[in-house]
Amino acid sequence: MALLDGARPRVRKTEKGKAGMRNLLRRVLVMREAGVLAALILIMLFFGLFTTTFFTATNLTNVLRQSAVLGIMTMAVTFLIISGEFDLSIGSTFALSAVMATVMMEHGIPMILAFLLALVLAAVVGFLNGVIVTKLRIPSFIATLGTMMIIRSAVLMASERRPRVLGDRGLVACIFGGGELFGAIPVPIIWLLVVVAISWVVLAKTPFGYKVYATGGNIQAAKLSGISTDRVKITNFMLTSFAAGLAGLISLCFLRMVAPVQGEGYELEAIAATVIGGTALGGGVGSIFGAFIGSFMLAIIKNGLVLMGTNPYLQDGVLGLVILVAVVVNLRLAAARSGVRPMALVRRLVGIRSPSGSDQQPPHAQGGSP
Amino acid sequence: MSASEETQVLAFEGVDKSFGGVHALKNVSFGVLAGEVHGLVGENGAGKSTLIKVTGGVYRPDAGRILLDGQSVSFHGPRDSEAQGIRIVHQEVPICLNLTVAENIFLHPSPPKRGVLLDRKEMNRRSGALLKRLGSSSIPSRNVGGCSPAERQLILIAKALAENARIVILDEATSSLSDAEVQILFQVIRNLKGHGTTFLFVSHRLNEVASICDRITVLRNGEYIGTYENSDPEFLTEKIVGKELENIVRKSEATPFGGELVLEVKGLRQKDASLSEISFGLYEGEVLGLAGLRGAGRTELLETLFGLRRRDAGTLSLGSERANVRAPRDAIRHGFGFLTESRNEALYYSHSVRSNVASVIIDRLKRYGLIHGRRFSKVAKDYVKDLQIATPSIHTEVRSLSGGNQQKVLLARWLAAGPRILLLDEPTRGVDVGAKNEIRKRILDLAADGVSIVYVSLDFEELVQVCDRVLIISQGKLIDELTGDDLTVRNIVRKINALERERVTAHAAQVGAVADAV
Repeated sequence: MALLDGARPRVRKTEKGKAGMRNLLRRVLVMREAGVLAALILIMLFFGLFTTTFFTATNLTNVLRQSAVLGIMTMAVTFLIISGEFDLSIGSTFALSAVMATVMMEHGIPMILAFLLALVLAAVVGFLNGVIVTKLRIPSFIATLGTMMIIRSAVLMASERRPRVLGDRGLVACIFGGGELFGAIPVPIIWLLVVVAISWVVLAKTPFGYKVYATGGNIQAAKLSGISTDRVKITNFMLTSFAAGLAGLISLCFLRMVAPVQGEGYELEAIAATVIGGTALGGGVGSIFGAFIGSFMLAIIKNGLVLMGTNPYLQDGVLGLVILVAVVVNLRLAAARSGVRPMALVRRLVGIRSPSGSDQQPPHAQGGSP
Repeated sequence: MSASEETQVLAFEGVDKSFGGVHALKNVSFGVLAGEVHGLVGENGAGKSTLIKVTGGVYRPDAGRILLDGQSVSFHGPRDSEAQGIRIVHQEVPICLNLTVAENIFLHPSPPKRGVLLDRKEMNRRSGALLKRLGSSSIPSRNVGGCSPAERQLILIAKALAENARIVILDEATSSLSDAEVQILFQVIRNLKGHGTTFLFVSHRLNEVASICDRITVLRNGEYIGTYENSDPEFLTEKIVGKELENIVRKSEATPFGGELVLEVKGLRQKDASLSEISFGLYEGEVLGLAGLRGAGRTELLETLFGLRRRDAGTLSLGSERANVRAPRDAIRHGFGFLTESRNEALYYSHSVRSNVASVIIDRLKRYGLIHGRRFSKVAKDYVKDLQIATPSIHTEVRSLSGGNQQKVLLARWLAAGPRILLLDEPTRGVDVGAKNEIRKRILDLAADGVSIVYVSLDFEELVQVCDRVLIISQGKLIDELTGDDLTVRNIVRKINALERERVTAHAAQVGAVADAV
């Protein structure tokens, strides 16, 4: 649970035992991520029941590994959306960094240097996105739609429209995604966990994280408080592109190749994962924990549907449905959370209306919350 | 009482309502007479809103009855109360800016139709007639977006009449109106009252309540205190607050000019806001008032000082140092603070009290690069206690606090920042009497500690009570200064009105000249 993410109900630590359990339950229920966490558990149980292979160590490792590339991008996208902006160009940037790294290596640049330059290039893309949005005042949806197409075109030209193969299997390739820790844990998982941990600390525990929430929560108020909102946004665009570049390199090292059209659609999947995790598209509200659960859930659903042997064309349909349901539930939870007692919230979730609408507190009620 | 009971159009009998642990209405009983304007006053959280919602059918009372013409009624929703001719005109005007005046009036329940098509002609005709009855000259086919706030209020009242309202509840309907606009509204109310419409008038502005209401009911902490014909604001304030109120007034001891010059503004100009030739000094520990009409440039001047607007010319000197203020960040670094008029601009509604308080000082709460959680909470806790902010906890969303408490949160934000110069724009507007005094007291304490304050308010009495010196601003220029014995409400009003008259005359002359030329 993020330290800063809006209001947090305080539950008094009272007697242990029964009351303690009830408090714990309340605490979980009023959490912003309660809905998505419950959904994740239900979905996992569902696949566990209907397939024999779902709950195996190999499969779960696999799912986590598959979610890594998208998960890393989702973390940065969460920062960006909380500060009130979007980025549609990350799919292109993802391919850009991988393709440019291979092109540079073909020209004799050492791998490690090629990788670092590819990351710098990604960050520069983010900087440009940020400047276009904040200084030229073009809505990020339009601005990054433009850069998405420009970068994709550059990728296609640089790659000469053919997949690029990564021949090198040295230490750098291992570290960036080809290797396995202790011979069992694929390196992409380590990257994912490290990125999640750093993102969580930065967003929830640092003044910068506070400013991200402030900028998205009310940009005028943030400016009045002396926060340079442009700088916050540009930084977030750079983080997002950098994460996309990093994800591109990890994918390159793991798959040992990159196709010039790779990464298409990642921008929307990352936004979907963030939103499923309870981040408000309008900005100001959200958390890394929720976004992580969101991206994991997407991977679980894809994996589970494959295991069940469903028609592959069904996959996107199911994902779409999950996104819609998640947004509706999150909205209702948010509405319920402002000024509603936790138990009324449960009642509302299952659709029972209390008589006379008395689960609403009056607007100026004081001292009525737990 | 028995004689008046027959003419009671609306009566409450032992109405009781609780929300969880909050007892919002405690056994409230009183009656509203047919054809009267009945005032309803009380602090924020006194139960006014709840009572209105009970009357409007939004809430159902836990106990007690509502009587309409002596008959007990029970409302299951807003539709039921509307069917009985009760209309509520809210503070926040729910109006569609993209539609025309007539379309807004007939938005609900049923516009005149010819077949399946809207009969615009009939709609405009009927709207025109209604508006004329209200003494409004709004054109029915015009877009509401182009109407003033007062016109919008009138349109809403017209809407209520179009739906045959017998009882109109005005919930803080005047809070966004200028004095002149309020007078128009009152004229309409008196007019309709003559035709037998009953009004329940809810407001924080006791002067207005006094001038329009026949009888006034006071609520405090959900309890009925009494219904009075005495409309003396002092008397009502006592009833509302429930204790003798010490009026917080500045005791101007030494003249402020003895103090050190903290800020010197020279030849400031700002084109967009048409500010020009602004020069003044601000002394240590001084409370400097800024009086002028709406649109005279008061807010714009503060915004320019704070770096929200670009200065086109002029200098700001702080002590001996020339201040280069180009953004709020620079202003804050130079020790400025700015409490804006609009809370919407300054609050993070979906964030906690704690987050809102720490907004300016978040970088100072760092330890090893991370926010020091305990200090983060302590700042908020200290101010919640110090300013008596009524909130369940520092983790509560600011959205759920009352207006006065939200304002205190913003004041806490700037107190925490420790400014040398504090710019205040209508710091006590729209807050209840208790919070108002609390806020005033803090501001004066601050001045006593040597902080210099620029105080903007439309409440001239407040300026006189709080300020050492008042500057008069008109059309973007500072045109006069009042201090000492000259600093009276009468003088402020006189200065401003004299200027207004000049302006109007000048304007008329200009128009005349143009007409002659044509």
